[in-house]
Amino acid sequence: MPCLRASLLSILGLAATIPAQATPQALIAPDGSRFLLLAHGGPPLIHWAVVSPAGDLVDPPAYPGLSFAVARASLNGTDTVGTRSWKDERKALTRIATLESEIETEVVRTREVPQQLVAELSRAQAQLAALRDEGAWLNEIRIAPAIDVRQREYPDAVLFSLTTTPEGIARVAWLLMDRRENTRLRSLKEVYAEVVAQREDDNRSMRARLHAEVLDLAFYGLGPRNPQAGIRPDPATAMQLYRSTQNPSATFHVITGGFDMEEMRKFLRRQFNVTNLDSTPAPRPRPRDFSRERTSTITGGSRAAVALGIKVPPGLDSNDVEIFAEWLAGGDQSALAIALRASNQLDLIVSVRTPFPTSAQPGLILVEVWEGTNPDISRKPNSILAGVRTALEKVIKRGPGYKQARPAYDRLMHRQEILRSDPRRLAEWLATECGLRGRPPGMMLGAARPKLDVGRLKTLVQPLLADGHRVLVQLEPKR
Amino acid sequence: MSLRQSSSLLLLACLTLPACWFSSSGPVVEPSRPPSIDRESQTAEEGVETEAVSQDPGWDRTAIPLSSHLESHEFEAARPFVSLTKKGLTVALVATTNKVDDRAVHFELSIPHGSPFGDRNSIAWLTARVIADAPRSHENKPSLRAAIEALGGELTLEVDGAVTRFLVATDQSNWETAFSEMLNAIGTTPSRRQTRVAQVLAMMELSDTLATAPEDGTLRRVTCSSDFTSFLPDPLQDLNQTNVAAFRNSAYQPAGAVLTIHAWGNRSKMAMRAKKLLQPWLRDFPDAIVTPTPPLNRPDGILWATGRTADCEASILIDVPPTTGPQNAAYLVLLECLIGTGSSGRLPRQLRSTVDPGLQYEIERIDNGPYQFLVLRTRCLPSQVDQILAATNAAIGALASGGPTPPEARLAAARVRLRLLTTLDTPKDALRATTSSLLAVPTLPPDGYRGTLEALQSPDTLDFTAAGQLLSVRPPAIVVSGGNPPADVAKRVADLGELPNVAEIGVPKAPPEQKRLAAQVFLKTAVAAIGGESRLLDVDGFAAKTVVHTGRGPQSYEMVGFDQKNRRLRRVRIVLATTIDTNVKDTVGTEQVVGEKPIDLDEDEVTLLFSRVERHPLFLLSSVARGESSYKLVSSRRIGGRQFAMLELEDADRPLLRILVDIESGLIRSVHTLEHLPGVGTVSITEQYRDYRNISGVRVPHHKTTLIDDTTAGSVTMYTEFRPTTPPPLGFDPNLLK
Repeated sequence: MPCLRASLLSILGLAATIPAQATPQALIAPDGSRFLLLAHGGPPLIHWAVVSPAGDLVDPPAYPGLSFAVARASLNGTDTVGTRSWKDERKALTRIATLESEIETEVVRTREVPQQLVAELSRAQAQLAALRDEGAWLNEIRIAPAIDVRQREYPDAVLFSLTTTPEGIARVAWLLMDRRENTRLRSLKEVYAEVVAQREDDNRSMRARLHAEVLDLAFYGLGPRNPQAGIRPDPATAMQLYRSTQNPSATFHVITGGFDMEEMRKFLRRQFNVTNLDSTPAPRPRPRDFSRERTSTITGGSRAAVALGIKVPPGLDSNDVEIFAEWLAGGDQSALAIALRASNQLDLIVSVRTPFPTSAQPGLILVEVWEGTNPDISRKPNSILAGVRTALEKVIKRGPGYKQARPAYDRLMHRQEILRSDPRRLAEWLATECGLRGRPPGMMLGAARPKLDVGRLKTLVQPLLADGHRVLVQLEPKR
Repeated sequence: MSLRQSSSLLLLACLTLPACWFSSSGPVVEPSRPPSIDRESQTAEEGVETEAVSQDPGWDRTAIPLSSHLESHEFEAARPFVSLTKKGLTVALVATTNKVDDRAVHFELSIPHGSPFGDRNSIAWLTARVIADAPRSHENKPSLRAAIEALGGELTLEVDGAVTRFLVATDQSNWETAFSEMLNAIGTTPSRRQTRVAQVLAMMELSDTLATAPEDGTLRRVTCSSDFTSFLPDPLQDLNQTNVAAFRNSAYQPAGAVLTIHAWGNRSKMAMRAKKLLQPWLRDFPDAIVTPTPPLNRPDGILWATGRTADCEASILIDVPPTTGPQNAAYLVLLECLIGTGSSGRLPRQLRSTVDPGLQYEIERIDNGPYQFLVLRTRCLPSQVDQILAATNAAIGALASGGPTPPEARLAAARVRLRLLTTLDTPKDALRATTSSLLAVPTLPPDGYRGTLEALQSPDTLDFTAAGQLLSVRPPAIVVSGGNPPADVAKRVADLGELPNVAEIGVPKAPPEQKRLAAQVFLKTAVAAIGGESRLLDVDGFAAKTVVHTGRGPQSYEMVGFDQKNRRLRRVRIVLATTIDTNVKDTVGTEQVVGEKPIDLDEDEVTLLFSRVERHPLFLLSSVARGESSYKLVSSRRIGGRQFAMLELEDADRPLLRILVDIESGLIRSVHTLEHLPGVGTVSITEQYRDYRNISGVRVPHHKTTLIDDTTAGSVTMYTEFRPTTPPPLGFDPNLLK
């Protein structure tokens, strides 16, 4: 049984590698909030990271990007923080909604803009603005004190993190809960417009376009989900989305730093004991079933590239898949890079990540092959794609051997060591690995290193590479 | 098996069973929830306050409990272990406090640019990219970055206005290999191909940055170089292998550099090991004393890169000195009171009350060698920029003179303390703090912030008077991107030109023939502008009289006669009461102070003398007219409102030579080259020409400014007479050319 084997492996590794002070502990608070706690000594600091699902895979089809917009708008305050009077604000909002509706009706009826109503709307909006302070919530949390307060957006997740002190944690926790339970998603329309504009900017990056195309081919098949400019999200839909992505079961907290573990556990149990949100785990994306290779070509930029999204069948061990991916395309010394050079495909930059997207179970192995910048090498159109296909055939034929697999395994383990050496990065990394992907914390903390089994890796060649369950996107530059 | 071991095993078994807590792929055991959800009142727990729930029926609020906070513990950071080398490099070891994983090693090598202009034309940035990202094909090695990633490590590159930093994170078993790779890459002279590869990569990334956030490009221009007149892509595109090699030779020296290592283990042993690994690099350099690294001197006032948007981004720049010593506690607290959390500090409050209550801010810190810039960024209207600067000065003045209120100081001290503790907790920040301290004061080992942290415990006792004076001594600058300055502000603004159109940022991959053809177009214009091809074919010498001013030294008077066909050159120079006569024919020459014995010039000196006269615009173009030289187009750029083409001479036997041609007038405005001076080394020379006058059918510049090595050192030459061909002018001793 893989579970038993995994736990035995981790037991064997435990005593040697994690000192007692750095033993992680899991906690489910009374309200259902999930915590992973790691007290590792050092200065009296607390690094707090909370991850929630987001992105195309949770957004309503009519409002792509809405999950990011609600996450941002939730920072604009609650019904007590960021408002002079929520009662008056509610009245103003109701008045504004009524006026907007009346204006719309009037325009349709008379085909003229009712100036008086517009003037009234202006006054109501000014009154609303005077009642609000959208920077107040962030300001309050920084005063706690807390620093490095940031909310980062990944293709399929939002990660909120900060650093505070033992003296500040109570206020921070209160504010986080207040935001979760009582946010008012202020200025949602404007924030959504920002998200839309930012997506357009991001799409200027060829890498982002490449990823979007892979995602679409593998998961949707409807083309990139770019939101229309000017569209107004429905407030009820937005709030429903917020609740489904921010409820205690959907989010995951990691707290690392210099604190007393028992005190922290007591504190979290005392604090996180109330919620008004339904417990709905966010949906997990699954690749579409496709029995043949799907390809696509996009044009733009100045460098050619090929992205390969390899479907990972369910049931495979995630550690094995990671080691396999690293062996296949983890940089300059990977099997694919070596095979490309052997086929005289020079000056190509090979990289890999898995799973793609992060929260997908099991998701894809995303391989990218980018043209380098050596001016002495010129390439014909489609040559990288042809080169990748040839190199893949060689790799499939040869399969992983110990000589290539061992360095790949070492690279992976070393990268994890580096992540673990930085408490702030560690908190954020654990939040995505354990919270979104469900990886066991002990393994992520190096307590039980996964074993390198080359025989098992060889068995992955067929389902991952040979059977052709993949998407291929070619990027041709505008020359 | 002990109780501890068995309970640990049990815990670990739970943690590592994949289906246990958090995976949704298996059954999830949901704990039973308390019945008190929503509006039901809760039983009060010890250490928990319960807020009163509103009775407003329309107000659907969840009451949030407020627990008491956790207790803090005492902490004292270990001091870094510091060791100096004879070559002027400082090595420091910082102990890690991380008990999760002790296997990672981080190290940072910081190398000062050694230029008062900072990273002028992005040469430091390009050189660092060549070292980090260009494959070392001549050694059959991948790039440094690829080599470190192959070891499972990470390489981060940062270049600011004063320093280049290579930051490597790696596993303990690989750190020596990674370190040696880095030294090997730094110690290798870059090839043309490496430079090209890195240049194209850097241009692509810059293009991406400017496409999505052009204001970042503007900020970089101002914070990385004191010569920010050029748009970011242009100078980068103009650089070549010679520039990179020259910069590497001058800047990449151990004197003044700092190596900091963050790891577990015996620190003195590790320092000795690092010094041993450094030997192959260090031995090529002479002994040197350690010197402090000054930060880049930033400008004051308003600097504006205009754009077509209605709004703009304004960034306020404030200097932050290195945080060495407890006396800096007061300054750090004052800064924190000024900026606050971005919305609560004195400055944001002042801006909201006097400029616009709706302004939102972001705070950023940008490194500047041992210092930092504190940057407050906000989007605003162009008409608000001047008000923002005035409000900033007012807020600083009020805080500097009046000091903070006690509650302000206490809140600010708590945040400063938190920031310093966080610095100690993360490897990258700990390295940076130690490095900055050693760059500023190399002989003063950092104390791990002990004194500062102690002083921050009692903010009420801090002396804010001296700190206030320090805060107000250097007024802030404001860097603006986008929009246009209002008329009343425009005259006070330092013009950074127009934001580049991203579509025009070309990645220079055109084949050589195309560049040659493009250059011919501009050369044709230049030849026509200076007098035309037939007139230029007659030019084979000149005679001139000049007055030369060199800084604060006495001016000199010169008479020069040059016969290109017969390879003869005569120069008589009069400085004060001394007359120096230089006489050259073919490869032989002498120099004589009148009244003393003549000294023979060697071949290199003779070649240098001829190359100086032959790079006069008239002779460069006459060479073109005769078909004796060809150029390629390097770039076109906009300077001071005019469009220029930069052309490079294609001659492998000569040092680099580039000319800047005004596209509209066709006149050569500057000539840039390299000279090798005996006893000095290679220097870069830029000669700027103006005051063109028509003399005998050709247009000749009568004013030349010569700049040496991108400094303000150089000379101004004014031509009082110039005759482009023989016979020599009236008043010129014809015997000089016999």
